[in-house]
Amino acid sequence: MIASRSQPGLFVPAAAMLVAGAALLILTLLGTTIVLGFAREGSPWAHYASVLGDPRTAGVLVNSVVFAVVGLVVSMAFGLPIAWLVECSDLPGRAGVLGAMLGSLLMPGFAQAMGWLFLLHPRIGILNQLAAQWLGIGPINIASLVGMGVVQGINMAPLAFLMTGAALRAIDGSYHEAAVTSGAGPGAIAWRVLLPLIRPALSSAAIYMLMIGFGAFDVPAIIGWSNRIFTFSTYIYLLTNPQDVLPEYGDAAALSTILLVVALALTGYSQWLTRHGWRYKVVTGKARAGRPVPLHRLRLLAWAFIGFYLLLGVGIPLLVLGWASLLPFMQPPSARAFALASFANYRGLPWQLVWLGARHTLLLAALVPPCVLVISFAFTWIGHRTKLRGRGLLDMVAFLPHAVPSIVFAVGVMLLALGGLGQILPVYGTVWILMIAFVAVWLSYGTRMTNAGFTQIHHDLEEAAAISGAPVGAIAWRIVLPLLLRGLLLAWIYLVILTVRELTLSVVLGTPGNMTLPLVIWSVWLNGGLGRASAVTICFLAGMLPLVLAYVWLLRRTQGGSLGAPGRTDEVTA
Amino acid sequence: MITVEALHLTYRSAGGVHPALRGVGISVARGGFLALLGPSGCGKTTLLRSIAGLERPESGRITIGNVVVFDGAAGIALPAARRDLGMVFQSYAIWPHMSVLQNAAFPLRYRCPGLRRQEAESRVRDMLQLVQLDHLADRPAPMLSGGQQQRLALARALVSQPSLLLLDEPLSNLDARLREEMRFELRRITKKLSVTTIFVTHEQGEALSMADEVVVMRDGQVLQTDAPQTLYAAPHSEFVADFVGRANLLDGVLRRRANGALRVDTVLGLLECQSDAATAGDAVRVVVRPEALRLVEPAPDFPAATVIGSAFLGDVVEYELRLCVPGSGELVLRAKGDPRRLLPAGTRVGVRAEGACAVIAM
Repeated sequence: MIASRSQPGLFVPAAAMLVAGAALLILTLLGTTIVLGFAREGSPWAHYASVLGDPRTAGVLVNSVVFAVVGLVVSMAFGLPIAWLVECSDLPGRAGVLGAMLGSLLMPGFAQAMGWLFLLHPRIGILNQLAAQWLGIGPINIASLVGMGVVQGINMAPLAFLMTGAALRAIDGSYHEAAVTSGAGPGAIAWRVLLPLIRPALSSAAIYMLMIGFGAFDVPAIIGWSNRIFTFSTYIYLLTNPQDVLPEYGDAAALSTILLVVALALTGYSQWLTRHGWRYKVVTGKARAGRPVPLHRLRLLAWAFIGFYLLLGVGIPLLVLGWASLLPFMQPPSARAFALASFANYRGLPWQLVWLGARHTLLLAALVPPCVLVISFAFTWIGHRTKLRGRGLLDMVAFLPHAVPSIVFAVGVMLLALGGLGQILPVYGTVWILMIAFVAVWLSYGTRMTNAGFTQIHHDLEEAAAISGAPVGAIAWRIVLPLLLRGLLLAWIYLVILTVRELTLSVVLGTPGNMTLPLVIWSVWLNGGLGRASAVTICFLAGMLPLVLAYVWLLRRTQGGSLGAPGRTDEVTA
Repeated sequence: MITVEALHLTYRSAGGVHPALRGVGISVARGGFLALLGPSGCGKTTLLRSIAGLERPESGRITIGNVVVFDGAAGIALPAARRDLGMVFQSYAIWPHMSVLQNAAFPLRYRCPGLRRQEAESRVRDMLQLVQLDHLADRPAPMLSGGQQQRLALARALVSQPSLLLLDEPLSNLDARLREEMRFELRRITKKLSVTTIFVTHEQGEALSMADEVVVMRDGQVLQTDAPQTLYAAPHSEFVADFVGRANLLDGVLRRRANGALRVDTVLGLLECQSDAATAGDAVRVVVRPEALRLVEPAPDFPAATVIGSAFLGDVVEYELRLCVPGSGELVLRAKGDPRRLLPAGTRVGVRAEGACAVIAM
C-alpha cells in the first residue's frame, strides 16, 4: 500500500500498455480458435458434429489418454524416487545428480524419440534385430501406444523429479525428526508422514504431467506419425496439414476447443489442489533442512537406479543417434556395419536448408527471451505493485498458455494469421509469426518466474527506497531489477533452450520460408532420411550443449532445484 | 515539529474490517524523541507507516514541520518519496546488491539532487563515521552483522538530514547485550543531530529509557501521553499501569487526613497517594509497584503473606506472594527483595508498602 503508487510517471502507464497488449493477444488467439470452431453456414455445431461423428476422434481420444497415463506412470516411477534420493537421503554426489537431471530436462523429446525408435522399431530397431538374430524372440514394438508412452515418460521424468523434489524440499525437517523421535522407521516415515504431506503437490504435479502428455507433439510425431498412431496433437496437425485433401480448419478448431476446455478444467482442479495444500503450510518458502536418511549399503542400488535412468534418457538415445548418423541404413554394430560407417550423412545434408533453419533459430533465440522477460516483468509489476483494477485477471490470462497445449495455441495463431489479421499484419510464412507465438506461449513461464522472484523480495526493501525519495521507476530499476537479476538470467537461458528446441509451434506455423532447425530435422525425417536426420540432430545437440552446461552451472550456483528462483534475496531479508 | 490529528485508518480484507487507527493524535516538539508503545496489533506501526506515507489513512491530518503531508478532508496525500523524513525498518531493509557506501548514499541521489559529488561523498563518510561503519564502507552489505546492518540503516535514514526520523522496532532483532548498547547509541546520535524522532516499540524498557515522551496505545487509540517518569508514577489506567512496569492493583477507599493529605485505605493498610480526580470517600483502584513493597519479619502491624515463588535476577529477586485477605479470600502480590538473602517458597513474611502509590479513578 505505497501511497507513492499514485505518483505520476511513465513507468506504470508503459507497463500497463505492454501488459494489456500481451493479454489481448493471448485472448484473441484463443478466442479465434473458439470462434472458428463454430461453422458459419448451417448449424453452428457442424464442425463439432463432424469431429465427434468421426470414429477416428474416439480412437484418438483413447490413444491420448493411454499415452498420457503411461507417460505419467513412467515419469513418476523414475522422478519420485530420484527426487527422494536427492532431497532426503545421504547419497554422495547429490549435487551431481541434480545437475544431470537438470541437463536431461533439456533433452529435446524428438531426439529421444528418434533414438528409441532406432533401438526398438519392430523392423529396423537394433535391439529387435539382435533379439531376433540371437535369441529368436519377437520384437518389442516401440511404435505402439504403450511404447510411445514409455518414451514420453522418460522424457518427462526430470520434470517429475523437479516438481516432487521441490515439494519434498519444502517440508520442514522437524516433521521428519518428530516422526523419528516417535519411533517410526524410514518406511513408515515415507509412507505415513512424507507422502501425505506432499500429496497436494504430488497430485498437482501429476495433473500437470497428464496435460503435457495429452498435448505432447514430439514423441507421437516422431514415433507415431509414420505408423498412423495419432494422439490429439498429431491428429490436429493432420487436420490442418493433410496430405491428400483440403485442410479442415473448422474441424481442427473444434477439436482444439475441446482440448482447451479439458485442459482448463484440469488446470483449475490442479490450482485448487495447490491452494488446498497451502492451507496445510506444506509449501512454505523456507523450510529447515532435515537430517538426511542414511542409505548404508543401498547406496549402490540408488546409484544404479539413477544411472539406469540417465542411460535411458540421455546415454542410449545419444549413442544410437550417433551410430545412426554414421550409417547408410540402420543395423546393429558388426564388422560389416563398422566398415560401412562414414560421414556421408553429414556431407549429404541439405546444408542450405540447415543454415537457413539455424539462422531463424538463432534469431528467435536472441529475440524471444528478452521480449518474454520484459513483458513478464511488466505483468508482475502491475499485478504485485499497483492497485489497477483487473490485475488479478491479467495474471490469469498470462498463465493461460501454460494450461493450453501448444498445438491449440499454434492453431489459433495460424487461423488468426490466415484470417483477418493477416491482411493488417502479413506475418504468415515469416519468422515473426513464430516469434509472436513463442512469446505468447512462454509468457506463462516468464510470469511465474518473475512472480516467484517478486515474492522473495522483502517489501521493506522497496519501501526503504521510497522513503529515500526514489520514484517508482527508480525503485523498479535500481532495487527490484538488480535483485531479480540472477533469476532473470536463469530464466533467460531456459527460454533460449525452449526456443531452440521448440517443434510443436514451428511445425504448425512453419513454411519453407521460416523453417527453424528442429523443423528442418522433422522434414528430413519425414522424407525418410533417417541417417541424415540423425546427423542434423547430433549437430543440433552439440550446438545446444554449451547452453545446457551454462544453465546447469548457473542454477547450481544459485540454489538447488527450483527452476531458477533467485536465491540471493531471501538470505539477507530473513 | 510534527503533529498528527484525529487519524483514522481501517484495514479491509476478505477476513473482514479491522479498524487499525481510531482518531489518533500525537505531537512531537522539534528535536524531541517520542516512543509509541503498545502490544502488537495496537496500531503503533500503522501510525508510523501513515506518517511515513506507506499507508494511507481515511481521515485526519499529518503535519511535518510546516508541510501538511496528509489531510483527508483536503485530499492531500504526499507520497513517501516527497516527505522530508528517514526511516529505519524492523528488518533494516539493507539492499543486498549494494555496498555499505552505496546503501548509505542512495537517498542523497533523490533527496538532495543538487548536491555536488564531492560534497555528497564527504557527507556519506561523515555519517558512516557517526555510526562507526566508516572502515567498512566498501564491504558488500550482506556481509554485515545484524548490529552493523542496523547502524547502516540508521546512517541511510539520516544521511539526507531529514527533519523527522522514524524507527520501527529497530532493536528487536538484536541480541540483549547489543540492544542495551544501541539504546544509548540511538539516543546519542539523534540528540547530536537534534533530529525529531518517533520510535515504535513493544518493550516498555526501551520506551522508558530512550524517549522524552511516551505514547501508550491500545486498539488503535492513544491511552496516555506522558514523560517516562510521570507515566510510570501516575498511570491513568490499569492497562497502562500493567503494561509499563509491573503493577499490583488493589481496591481501596480514599480518605482525607486532618492535615489535608490523601490516604487510601487498602488491604495493605493506609497508603500515601496523590490524586486530583478523586475525592474523599470514593472507591478507587491503586497501583502499588513491586519495588514499593518491603518484605519484613512477620509482625502484627503488617499484613501477613506467604512466598509462593521467586525469580532470582542477579541484582534483585522477584517474589510472588499470597496474601490472605480476611473476608475476601486471597490476593497474589508481586514484590522485589534483596538478592543476597533468598526466601524459599513457604516462608511467612510481613508486607509493608512504602512511598506514594498512584490512584486510578473507577
